[in-house]
Amino acid sequence: MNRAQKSAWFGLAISTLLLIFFAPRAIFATPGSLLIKLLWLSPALGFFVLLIFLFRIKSQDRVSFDERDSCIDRKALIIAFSSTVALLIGACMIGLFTSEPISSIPILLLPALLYTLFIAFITAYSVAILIQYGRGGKDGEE
Amino acid sequence: MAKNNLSNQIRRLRFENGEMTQQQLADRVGVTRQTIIAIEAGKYAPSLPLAFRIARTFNMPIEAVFQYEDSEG
Repeated sequence: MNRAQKSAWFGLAISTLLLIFFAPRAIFATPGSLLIKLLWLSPALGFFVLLIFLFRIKSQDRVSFDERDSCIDRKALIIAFSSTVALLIGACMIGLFTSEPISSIPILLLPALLYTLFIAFITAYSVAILIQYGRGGKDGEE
Repeated sequence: MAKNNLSNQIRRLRFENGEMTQQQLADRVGVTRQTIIAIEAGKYAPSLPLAFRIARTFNMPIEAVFQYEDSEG
């Protein structure tokens, strides 16, 4: 398992944790305004971003990222970006068709939407990376 | 629809060149071992510069290492 795969597994695990534990607690259980609830999420988000950068540090002794990894990374980015845009369009369409045409939403829902899109992007990116690399178990070293 | 098949002789050539390991070949051509594994298995088509580097490692012309078949599928 190489650096990109480890990073993808880590991203998948953390985004799942954020989705399952932190988001519902922050939105439903924490008292205060929605902005305060969203601020409650920021340490988890910061921790996540920090660890992503730590995983990105290249080792100097041996090649750890080559043209195939770059190709896989590029495809995964395209898939993740497309999925995120599709999710955003879907969310807008649901809002459009389930509400009155001139109805309004609280402006504080926008950061929540961004947070959800961020998690969706990381999840789609990680899954795309892992699928493209395959299982990555028995490599058949001769 | 045309189906592109790229086969290679890397595995055989490694054994004919002092039983070179996949890691040794990867280090010589500047890629990861996983990439060599994927190329050998036909799961990844290398770029032209990488294909040339691999061929030069074995002191062979590129067409002796990689074969391309264009078959209808």
